[in-house]
Amino acid sequence: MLLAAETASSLMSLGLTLPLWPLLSAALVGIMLASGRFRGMAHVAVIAGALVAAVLGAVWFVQLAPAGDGHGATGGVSMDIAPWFSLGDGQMVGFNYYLDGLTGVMLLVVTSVALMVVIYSVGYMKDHHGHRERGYERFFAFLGLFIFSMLMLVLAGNFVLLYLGWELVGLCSYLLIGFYYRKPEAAAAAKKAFLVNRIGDFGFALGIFALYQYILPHVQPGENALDYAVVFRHAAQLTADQVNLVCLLLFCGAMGKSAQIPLYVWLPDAMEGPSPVSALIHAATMVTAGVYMVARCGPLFANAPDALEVVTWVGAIGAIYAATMAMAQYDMKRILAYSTMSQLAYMFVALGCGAPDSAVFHLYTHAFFKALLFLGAGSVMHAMGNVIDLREFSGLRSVLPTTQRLMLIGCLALAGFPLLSGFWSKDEILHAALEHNFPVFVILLLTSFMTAYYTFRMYFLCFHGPLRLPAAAGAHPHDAPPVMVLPMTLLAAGAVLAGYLGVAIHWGSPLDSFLFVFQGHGWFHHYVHNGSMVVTPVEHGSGSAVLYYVSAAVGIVGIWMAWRRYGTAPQDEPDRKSFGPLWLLWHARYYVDEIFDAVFVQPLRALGRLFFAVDRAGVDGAVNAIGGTPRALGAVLRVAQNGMLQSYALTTALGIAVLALLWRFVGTP
Amino acid sequence: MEAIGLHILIFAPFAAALAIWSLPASRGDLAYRIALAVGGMVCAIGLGLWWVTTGDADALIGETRLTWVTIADTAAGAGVTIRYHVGLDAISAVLVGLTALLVPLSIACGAVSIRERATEYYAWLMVLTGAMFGVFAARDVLLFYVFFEFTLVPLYFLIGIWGGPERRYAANKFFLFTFVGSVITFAGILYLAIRAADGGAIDFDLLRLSSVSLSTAEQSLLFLALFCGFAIKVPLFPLHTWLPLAHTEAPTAGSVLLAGVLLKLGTYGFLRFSLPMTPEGAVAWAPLMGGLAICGIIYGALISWVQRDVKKLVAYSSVSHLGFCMLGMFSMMSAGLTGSVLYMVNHGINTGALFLVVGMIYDRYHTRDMDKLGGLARQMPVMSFFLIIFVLASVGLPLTNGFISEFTVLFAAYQSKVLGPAFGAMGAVGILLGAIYMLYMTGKVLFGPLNEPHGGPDLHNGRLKPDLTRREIAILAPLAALVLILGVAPKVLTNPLEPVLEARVLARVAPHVAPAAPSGRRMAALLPGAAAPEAP
Amino acid sequence: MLIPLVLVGAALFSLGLIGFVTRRNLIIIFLCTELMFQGIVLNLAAFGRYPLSGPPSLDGQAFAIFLLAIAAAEAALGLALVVLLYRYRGTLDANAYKVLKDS
Repeated sequence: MLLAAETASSLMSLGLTLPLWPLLSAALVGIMLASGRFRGMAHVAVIAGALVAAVLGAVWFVQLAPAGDGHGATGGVSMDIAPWFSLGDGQMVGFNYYLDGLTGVMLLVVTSVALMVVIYSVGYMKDHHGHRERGYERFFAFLGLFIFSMLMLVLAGNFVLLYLGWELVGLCSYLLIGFYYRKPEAAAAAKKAFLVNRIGDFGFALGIFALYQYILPHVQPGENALDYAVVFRHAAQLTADQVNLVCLLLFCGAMGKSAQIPLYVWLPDAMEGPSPVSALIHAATMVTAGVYMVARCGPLFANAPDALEVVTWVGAIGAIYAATMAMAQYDMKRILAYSTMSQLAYMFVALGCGAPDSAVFHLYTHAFFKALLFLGAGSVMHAMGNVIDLREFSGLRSVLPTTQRLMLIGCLALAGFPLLSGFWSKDEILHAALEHNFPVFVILLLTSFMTAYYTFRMYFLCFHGPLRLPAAAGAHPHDAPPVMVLPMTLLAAGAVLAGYLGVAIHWGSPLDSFLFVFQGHGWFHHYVHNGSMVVTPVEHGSGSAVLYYVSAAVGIVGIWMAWRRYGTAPQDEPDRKSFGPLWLLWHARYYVDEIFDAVFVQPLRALGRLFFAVDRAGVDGAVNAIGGTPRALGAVLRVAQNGMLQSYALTTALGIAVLALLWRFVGTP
Repeated sequence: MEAIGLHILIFAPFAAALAIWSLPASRGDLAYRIALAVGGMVCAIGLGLWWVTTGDADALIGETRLTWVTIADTAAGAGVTIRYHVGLDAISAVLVGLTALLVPLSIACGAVSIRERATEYYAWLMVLTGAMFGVFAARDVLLFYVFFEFTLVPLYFLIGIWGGPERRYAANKFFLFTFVGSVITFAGILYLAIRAADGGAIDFDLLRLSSVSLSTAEQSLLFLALFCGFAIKVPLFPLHTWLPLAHTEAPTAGSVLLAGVLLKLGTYGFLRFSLPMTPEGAVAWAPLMGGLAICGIIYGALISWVQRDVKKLVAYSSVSHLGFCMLGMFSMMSAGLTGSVLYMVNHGINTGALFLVVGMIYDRYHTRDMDKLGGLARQMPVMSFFLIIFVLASVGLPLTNGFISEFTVLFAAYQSKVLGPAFGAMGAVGILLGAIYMLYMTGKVLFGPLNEPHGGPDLHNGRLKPDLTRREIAILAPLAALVLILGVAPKVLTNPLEPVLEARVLARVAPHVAPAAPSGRRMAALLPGAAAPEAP
Repeated sequence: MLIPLVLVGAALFSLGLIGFVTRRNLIIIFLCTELMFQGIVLNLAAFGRYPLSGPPSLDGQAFAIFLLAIAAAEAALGLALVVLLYRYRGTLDANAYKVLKDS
């Protein structure tokens, strides 16, 4: 039972309008901008839109809860809203929703984090004197548009609609990264994000085409081949090769959107956008779309072992690769960006290891603490006069005490400190990796250690040591105003508590229950199992707790190491001495941007120039040559046209003579 | 009722042209007003006629059939008849609607920049308008050809007189290039008419010519003959070199109508003539056509990327976009054909709008060099808003019109039995390359620090503002609205189209689409001479 | 009787043609065209009188008369042009009148 029978249908139709409220609010801001009236009210409109979405999202979250104990999963429900366009052969693409546990979780994450970020932005987008930043209204309009797009992505009931949400969030990302469009770096980063994502979308689109081709022969009359429900119903009828191909192509899209190797290059640059954008789009929601998509396509991926192997390894390599780069950066937001990439890679490992519920659990906890971290970094940046380089300041705990406390919670959650939300979800992924792929497990464990280490390197460099301030900060930097603190506090509460939804309480021995109390796979997992997700069966609330102790130790040791080396915010960079050239390589981000530029961008542009030259000289030259032929021929023949009447007459006479002779001796034809 | 509307569409612009010509040269403002009034009128009528066709898929509305020229009618049964035969079905009505939409906008966009010989300018614009309606309305193939060629004349003068620095060369090249191609098409049409007559009276009725049974070799050659005129008009790679020149040199209105409507004469020709008249030839040549389309997509996109002149960039992007259009058409799939027609409309809207915006920038700064322009977003926020919308539509972002057509076209190419996944995949590279050059252009023109030529914008003695004026907003707003409307509800356009395309075009070609035979061999078998061994 | 008549006509035409091609003076050239004319007129009259088939008719002779009238008119016009040309250039050498060819 998805909805209780007595639930008013009006509530349902109101629920269906969920994504439209943020869109409406964005449109309202657009009208304000065009008319020039009520422009100061822009944030009110968008907060209202986000609030309605959050309320409806929470309602849906509750409605989508499985009935009873959750073991009787009811599967997803398709809801057709309107037709969109036709694909011939009687196949339609429509606007429809697909609702199941996964949708519910995503709705909750997206709407709640979005609401927090929008509220935070009201403070962030004003300077210390309360003046609105230039483009204030534009910013909120784009945020509204983004929330709409992300909700469409999550609610989509077919692959084309998923692609719609996919592209629209990409657009919003483009617009918001390029928000400070006068900065050439911001404009370039925006373009890069869009284009790198388009590379992934290329694969994604082909995946949809291939899926259609393979699924169409199995489709019954009245079914639309690209609807999730139909695809999942017939997924088992495809051959292994077909599913592997489709899944790999779809995964290309996920690599772009979720910033995995090799399409991750846009994410660090995307930090040129305002911090709330980084928190919402590039940490909590949009970048998780790839994870969501792979989890959503569970029935396909479950039949594609080769594709899952690829997903696992891309994830594992990406996790440690991003962590190494995060260890050697000074830009706080970039460190967080690499950690986002690394954490997303964890989720992909979970997906690859057949534990999509764990991936989604990590997605859900990660959204809270990573959004908190980005908002905290934004708060630091706001106070430091837009300086975010860790070499420029230190010891901020004395001037930004609130931010420091909130950041500490976020850092602990990210580092996998026991009992915080990140700990529970990360441990589950380690568990899944241990069961499926030991080398990957080792890599992830090492990455856990590095995560704790670089997170606290950043934390100590920022908040500990002697107080130093950049010139841009002024003499008396202000801590975050209440309008920024409130959402950060709520997110911090999420960072601490959100994980307990996915933990089972089970009193037992310390060897099978962590600290005598906790076991994995709690209510959250029952919840997401209610749908299309394909999960390798795990007996809920069981298994050994040993891994919990191991990962807790790894996290704590990582934090302790960071304390030892960076606790006083030293300015001489101890790691640089310890790691030598390796550190420089990490700091230069493996020169991947330069390599990409030299290997792909420049050759392609050179090809464009070559084509242009060929077009003018070769193709157009050939056309001109053809056009010139009659003229050249004329130049030859004009010799005969000498203007002398008598020579014409002679030619005529001779011609007639020849004709006469021909007629006489050869005869008429 | 509809017939009267159709006559007004075709003849009112010609009458207006005569009226404008008779004005004294100093009355440019009056000429503008007359042209705009007529433009508005044909816009209303054209869109109204399109709306009427959406009601009934089989309708042929406003049909009029009059004998125009009769030659050598004495011998019993023999002789040639050319008719003034016009009417609109769903396919032509869509393009008439597109033309009707773009005409008033292209008239209005010249209000500030066209100052010299304005009466003549608007007169030629009116002549062009009438000819464009005629070509889409024609149901007699020879009448179609007459209008098809006649569109060259006004455009030749529009480019040659009011164009940029290289206008003479561009106009000559445009005229000669397209004219040469269509002469061969004309020969093909004559051959077809003679075969259709089968010794009896020759006429050029569209339906009659679409149901001639021809041998395989005949179809193959005839397809090539028709190809010559239409492919140049499209323009299909490598016959596109007239286009960047003509687009770049033409005045804004010329570029808009050239890109928006006149290129569609080529695709319309393929759809209306090549496919139904020589279905077997079309299927046989489809892989080659698809290959050329893909070459055009990639080649045009890469060249666009290295342009410095914004207008040239948009011009080369047309080569790329029309490649998509052809790819969809030659997929021989229902989705591909519908997508292709939708692509024609969307390209008309999007590229037309881009040319309009570029023209508005040019009116102010008198340059289109991207190295001399930059960071205009703060200077011209309204312009930037519109430019970004049209750029997004061009790169095929969902919820804009561009997405539906691009997606269905690539989808059809991938699923097609004559083209197949490789074509779909190669074509899909275009969605990446398209984004590259469009965002490159947006980034250069709108973003980054402000960069404008010395002295700032030329405001034409207060007739312009630094940002868009109300007149300019009124020009762009309907197009922007359509971008979104057709993105959300493309069914308005495609629902009436789909059955017509399936019945008139797909039904003709479908029997020849053999799923098994490798396409290469089938093509070789169709070449004259090689057909012998396979003949029974 | 047909053959001698035709031979005389052919001789007249040939002489005219040779003169037309070889001489340089416009008046002589003009007179040569008249000679060619007369050769043809003679042919017309001869074939009218001695047709290859059927009864003789007056058509050929009538046509000859008609041509003589035309020739007279044409001679008047031609000589007038020659006079004009002489006034224009001061010479009647045909080589001087190659203005058709652009220089």
